[in-house]
Amino acid sequence: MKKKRQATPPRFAHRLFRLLCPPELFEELEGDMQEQFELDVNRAGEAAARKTYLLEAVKFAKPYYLKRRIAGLLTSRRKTKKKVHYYSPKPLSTAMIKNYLTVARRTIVRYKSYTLINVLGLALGLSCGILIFSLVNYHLGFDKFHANADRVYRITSELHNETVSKYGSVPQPIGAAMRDDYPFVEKVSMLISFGGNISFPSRRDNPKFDDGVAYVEPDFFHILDFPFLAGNPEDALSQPNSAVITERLAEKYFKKDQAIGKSFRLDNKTDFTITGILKNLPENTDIRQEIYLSYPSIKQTTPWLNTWGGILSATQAYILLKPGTDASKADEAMASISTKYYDAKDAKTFKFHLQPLSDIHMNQEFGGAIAKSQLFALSLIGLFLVITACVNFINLATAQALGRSKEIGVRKVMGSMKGQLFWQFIVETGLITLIAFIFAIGLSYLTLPFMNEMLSTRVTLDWLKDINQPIFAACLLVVVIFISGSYPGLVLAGFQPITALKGKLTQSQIGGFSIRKGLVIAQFAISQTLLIGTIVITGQMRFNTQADMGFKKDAIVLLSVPETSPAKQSAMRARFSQLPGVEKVAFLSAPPASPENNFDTGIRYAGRPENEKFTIFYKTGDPEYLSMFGLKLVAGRNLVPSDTTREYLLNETAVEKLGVKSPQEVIGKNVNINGRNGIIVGVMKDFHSKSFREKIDPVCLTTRAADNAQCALKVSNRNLAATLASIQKLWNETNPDYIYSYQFLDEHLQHFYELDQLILQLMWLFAGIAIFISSLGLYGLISFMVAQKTKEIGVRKTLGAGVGSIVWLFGRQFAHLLVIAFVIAAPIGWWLVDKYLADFQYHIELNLTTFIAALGITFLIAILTVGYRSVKAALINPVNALRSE
Amino acid sequence: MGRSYLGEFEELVLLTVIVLGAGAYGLSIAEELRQRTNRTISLSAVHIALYRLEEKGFVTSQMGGATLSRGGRKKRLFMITTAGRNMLTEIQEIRNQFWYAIVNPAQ
Repeated sequence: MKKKRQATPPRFAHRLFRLLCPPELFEELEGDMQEQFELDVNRAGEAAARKTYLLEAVKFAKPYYLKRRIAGLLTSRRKTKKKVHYYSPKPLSTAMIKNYLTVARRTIVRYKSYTLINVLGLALGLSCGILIFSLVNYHLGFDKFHANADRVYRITSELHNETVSKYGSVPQPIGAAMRDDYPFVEKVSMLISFGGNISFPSRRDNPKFDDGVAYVEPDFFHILDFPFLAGNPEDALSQPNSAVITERLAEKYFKKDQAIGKSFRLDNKTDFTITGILKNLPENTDIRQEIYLSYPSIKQTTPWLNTWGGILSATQAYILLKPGTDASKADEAMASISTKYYDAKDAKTFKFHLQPLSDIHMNQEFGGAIAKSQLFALSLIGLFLVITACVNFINLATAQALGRSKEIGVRKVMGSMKGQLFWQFIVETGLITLIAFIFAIGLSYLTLPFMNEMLSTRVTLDWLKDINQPIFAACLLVVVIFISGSYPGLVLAGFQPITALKGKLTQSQIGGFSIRKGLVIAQFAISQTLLIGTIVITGQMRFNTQADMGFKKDAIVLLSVPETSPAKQSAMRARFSQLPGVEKVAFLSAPPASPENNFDTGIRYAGRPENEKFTIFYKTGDPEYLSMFGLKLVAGRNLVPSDTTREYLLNETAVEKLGVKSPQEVIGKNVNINGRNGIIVGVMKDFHSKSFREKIDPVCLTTRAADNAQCALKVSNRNLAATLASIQKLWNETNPDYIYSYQFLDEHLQHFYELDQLILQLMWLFAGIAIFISSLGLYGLISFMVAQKTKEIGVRKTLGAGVGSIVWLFGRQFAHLLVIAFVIAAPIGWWLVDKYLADFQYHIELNLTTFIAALGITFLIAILTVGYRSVKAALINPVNALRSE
Repeated sequence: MGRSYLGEFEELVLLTVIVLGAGAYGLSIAEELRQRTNRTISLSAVHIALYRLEEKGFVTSQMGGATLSRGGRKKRLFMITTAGRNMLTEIQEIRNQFWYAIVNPAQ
């Protein structure tokens, strides 16, 4: 007679049920579950009943129960017993929020330096975050506003020679070919842009402006959406010599007068009548021309462009595909252009493809502004900055928590619930973050113009116009508050009241000291790497501007020569030479080194059957060229004055490349450069013809007045302003139809290093921010340590320790951290700057001082940060420190 | 329809509360529904429906006495309120109108 064992639900399932069930509902729900189980045992047997029980228990994992379960966890258990059904005390009731705000306000006012440091750190991190976001958002939003953006494509070219070169520009006839040959093309428009000299000869004062122009076909305004304020997009550009300009230019040219129907003259040659006014261009488009000219006129102004053989970089073709066209199929079909319009040899060279409109801004192969990967890297930097700011905040807050442990203890004893303490910390953090956020927004607005100028962007912070920005700001605010508030909130709210009141909190209760040390090390490693980079780039930039380029570049003014006839040149020379401040005048095609106007061409030497394998830089100038730039001859003599090419000077590199042993040997030899024969009369000592990035190229100099597009004036330093003014006056008198502009040669050469200058500025900026953030991190760490070691310091002082030894107690620790950071940073920094310098053919040598300087600077900053705090700690009267029990 | 919205399942639960009269609590309602509808009904779902109905004011509840059969735990007994009855009537009327319109499409 076995006694029947009582059937029980599975223990695991029961536990699960207990875990999921809100305590206030436990009584009734467990009863129902148990009763159900007993029913099932009778009906279907124990095994089936146990299975059903488990299933039922699992089903309690529903949001309805979970929400109440979690709410129950945050409130004390004792209270819920007495509580009415369902009601859970809410830590976020109005009265409590008011109290949190009061307490938070008092704390913030009481710990002023703490608040200040936190606000500064957060504001810096947040404003970097905001700026980087708006930059990324700006770049991602390019040309998205066109209604048909997904069907618009630009035609790109590939030239398959020894290497493949890719261009966003195309031969001019391709537009017509696309229209005629392909049924999938709905609309086509060429966009051919030039710099323009705009004048108004009909007006008495004949004002002149420098503004870019673009020839477009009437369909252009159907492919892309640039709304008209006046005039009709359908026929505005259908007649030859008509033009559409933007509102901005209309105002600039005509002030308040009606612009439509007025005309202007382009490049002193062709007249255009304005038939339409465009709304100002939005910031986020890559199409920046503000004057659109009717397409037929290009035959008149630039007839030579109409060829399949050449690609002018300013010639673009935009097409609109018919809806539903498969772009990859269309792209394949375009192969037939090569075979149809080119002979067999060229068909292999010229290939054409389609590029989606959205790709134009992001594809650097075709001259896009910024690559997606760069945007990603930028976003990462932004994220990193925001996170470090949060972590620093957490560091400081937990360090400060030790000081506030009594407050928390008292609150708990008085009946504060964990949820309430948690929310109190969140509200405190929220207030500090909010203040920081307001600062950050102000800072962003202040620094935005600098960023735009530095990166040549047109980012705007307009919260009404772009909904993404306020959404981002709100998310950032909430995330930062919760990240930086919840850790201290959870840790502090979890203190045992007794230990907290006794002031016996230990490191393990605050947690993560080594993590914090690691963070400080990482921060300093980044700062040091950036510092090393900054120091090296600064050094190289100084080298770039100060090192001898092999020619004189000081006090030389470059002017443009718009009309190159020999008569005009000699007239200008005669008048300029008379100016008192001008010491020397030379006409030339380009100075010895120049970032622009470099012309590379073929050379054939002394009766050799074929052109040489290398190309040569072709420069023209008059015989004054050598003395103007202080160039030396190693063999032969200077050029003889002439208006055409008769004689050549080569540089040493050219002689070497020709395979001739000594410079003397080439003198008197015949040479054909750029298709013109001449005799080599001299050899110049080598000078730098490009930036220090590149090796010295072969260079030739010859006389040919028609190519002299520039005029160089050597000016004396005395009375420079007056001299410049009289030069301008003279130039305007001799060239009344053109716009005056001048440049100093040394400034002109700076254009070689524009990008480096930008990188350097960014490096300074990031290094500064990194150092600031890491000092904050360090300050948090030292505050924490000081708070911990109060007793130790007291004991040491009573036993006779001096201030110095106590400061050293902290200093030792941080010296360690910095040295570890340096050990990480030095090899990374070395590797990076070595890569940077390898890009220069002529560069400074890396030396130890750079690295020592980086270490020294961080040490200095660390000493300032640590020193203040630790000296303050060391000076405390030991009686106060020890009595705090 | 005005006021609160009533889901299909909630409506069934509410009807069951009327049917069971004084003996309506979580398990008995679930059992009744299982028999009548031939669906899988979980206790957790029935309880959510009941609590929601109570929040909306369609049922009231009180704790009943403990019994031996359920591990000594108390039951929560549910009763329909006037608002609940009105709600059900209203639903029924609306449905009737629709059925009438379907049967006599000319109307």
